Amino acid sequence: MKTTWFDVHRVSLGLSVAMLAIGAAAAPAIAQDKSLTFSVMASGTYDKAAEALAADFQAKTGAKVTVAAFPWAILRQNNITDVVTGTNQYQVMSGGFYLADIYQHFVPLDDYIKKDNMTNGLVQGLMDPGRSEYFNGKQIGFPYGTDVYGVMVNDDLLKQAGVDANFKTWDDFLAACSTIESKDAGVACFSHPTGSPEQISAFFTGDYDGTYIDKNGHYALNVDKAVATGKLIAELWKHLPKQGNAMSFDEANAAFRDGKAAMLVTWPSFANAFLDADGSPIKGHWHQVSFPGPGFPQLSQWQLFMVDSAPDKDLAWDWMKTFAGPQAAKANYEKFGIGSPWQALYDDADLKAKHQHDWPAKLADLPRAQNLVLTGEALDFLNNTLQDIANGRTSPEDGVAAINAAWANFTVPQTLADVAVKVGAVEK
Amino acid sequence: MQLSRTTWAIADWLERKIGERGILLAFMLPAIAIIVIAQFYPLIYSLWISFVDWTLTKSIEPGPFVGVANYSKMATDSVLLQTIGRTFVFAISSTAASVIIGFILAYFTVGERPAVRIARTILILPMVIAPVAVGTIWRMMLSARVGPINDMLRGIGVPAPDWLGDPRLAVLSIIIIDVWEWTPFVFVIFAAAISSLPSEVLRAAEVDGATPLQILFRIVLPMLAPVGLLVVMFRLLDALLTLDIVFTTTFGGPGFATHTLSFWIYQQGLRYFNISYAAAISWATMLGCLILVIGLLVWRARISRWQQA
Repeated sequence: MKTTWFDVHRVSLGLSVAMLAIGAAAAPAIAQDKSLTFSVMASGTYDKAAEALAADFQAKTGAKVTVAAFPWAILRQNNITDVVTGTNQYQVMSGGFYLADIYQHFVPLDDYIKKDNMTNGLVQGLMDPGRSEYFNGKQIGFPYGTDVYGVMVNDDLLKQAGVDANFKTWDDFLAACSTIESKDAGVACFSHPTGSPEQISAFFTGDYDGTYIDKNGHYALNVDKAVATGKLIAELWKHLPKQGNAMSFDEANAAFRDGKAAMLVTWPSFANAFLDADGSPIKGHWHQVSFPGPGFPQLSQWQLFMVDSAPDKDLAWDWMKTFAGPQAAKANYEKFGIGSPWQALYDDADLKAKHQHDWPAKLADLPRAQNLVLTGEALDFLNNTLQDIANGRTSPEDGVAAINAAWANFTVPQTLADVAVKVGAVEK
Repeated sequence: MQLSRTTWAIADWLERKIGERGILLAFMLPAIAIIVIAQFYPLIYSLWISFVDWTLTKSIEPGPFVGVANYSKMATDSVLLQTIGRTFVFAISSTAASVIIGFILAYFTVGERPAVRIARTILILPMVIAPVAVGTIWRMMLSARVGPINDMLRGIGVPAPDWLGDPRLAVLSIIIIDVWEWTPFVFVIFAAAISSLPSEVLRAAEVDGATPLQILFRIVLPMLAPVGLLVVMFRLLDALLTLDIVFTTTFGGPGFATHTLSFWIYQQGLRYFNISYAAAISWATMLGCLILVIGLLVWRARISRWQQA
């Protein structure tokens, strides 16, 4: 039989209709495929842990979890952009107090937490205001990574310098710097990830014991106290390693590990596994000490937030439980160095024995550690100005005046204002 | 055949109705519509939002009309005022350096010898690398403690500077990177312009006994002035609006040391979501650039008229 063009057209039409029909039939099936996207910091720790758990989660639930990882500053920006533009790309987000601008878009978790009894076994106090995030009195964040800013010391170098590492204040720390450097000119007092601009505020909050919000409800620093802290930071910056003003986390860790710096001021979860790695020259020769005062050590309380646009909230909660729950805590700590919010980890006899050099200081500091009550914009302004003070671009007096002038124009979100009252960050 | 006849018939009818120019206009309409929708609408919309109070984190809808409040806020924004000065320093330094270096390279690589052609190809390479990659590569190269540049300096006994950590050097560093990236653009334009200079004029000067320097300063440079001004205009505009290099190397730091205008607009609009304020700064920047461009174009026109005279 001869095939005509008409037949060809007819066959094509038939095929098209059939494909459309198959597509239409398959559409609901595709739509029913479970998946979610999880935004997290690209730290080589949190993101890697999420990727590792995502495979198991898919095997267990059939739901695909896409891990979208970004550096801290970009993560904050992407999370906020995603919500305020209605893009709704991420159903579960990682973050902390700096997402205060979009708290209203997060699902209250109280019922989920209660249903699964998820507070049972958490380190005491982690769900308090100023540590975990609330909106309108409802819990909106669930912790999965808990860290306290730390000071790690090289036992040999401090012994050689005759320095007692029990620093009560940052002035004590500064005084030790001169002693350490006078003993060995090749050793800097301390290293720190100076290249990450957001880190400098750890020194500020560590020394500054004033308020952050004035009587009128505006962001404002106590001038005298803030200037004194600014002067201290400018002095401290003179004791960094040579060319140490833009060090990455890895560079700062390496300077301490290799004995180029006697102390390291950083997040322990970013350093401790590296310092204790096989072959590390400092392994067994360092320990963490209590964070000096009179301010507070910063708390890194990474939390999971469920976005209100998430189509399948039960699935989102399942992922949150999988990632942040107690079952994953030990693996997350041992494989990826994620500081756990679960008490059971710190009660584990083997781990406890291994971490006699760092856990006691961390756990002792945890009760006084807290978050800042600043929005992202206010925090950026503080950090950038502190860096200018540290580098001598501006004086502490001018810097603090500039911070207060800029902060006067920033709105304090109600949720942070409430927290500020509870943690004593408001001028009386 | 039938289709062709129909098409011609429609075309004839259209030409009778709206004329040849009308048909041309009709063909251009889709393109014009796309330009209007994709470019002018956002531009006008951004002008509108620069007069309202809109912070995206507070509301997804633009707020009330506030007149010129966003523009007057610029006068009290200490970071912005510092940023404007720094951006001009950056743009002028980068433009001057890239124009001088680009011209010298072009002048000495005129010709078609294989070695010259290979040199030209190599010199163009930085321009074809994505700016984000350029910034990332340079950030690693300029790393004070572990970067290859400082390793080399230490190797020859020169004190190694803290390129990105010292506030003054950080500005110099981004100027160096910008010059490295965009000198090839200047080079390409000047190379083409020098090649197109009338050879009889240059030969006549040689015959008249002009030295190479006299030929350069009295013939080549004056003849290249209109092209040079265009190059300066493009480079200045590009440098005034630099964002990618700053973003990838210093992220505006240390402190506020390398905040440029575009970086501050980006911070205000896309990190702090102060959309209306960012729009106001953008419009002020655009007006500033427009005045600069008009000034340079008028100057160029005068030079061209003088040359023709």
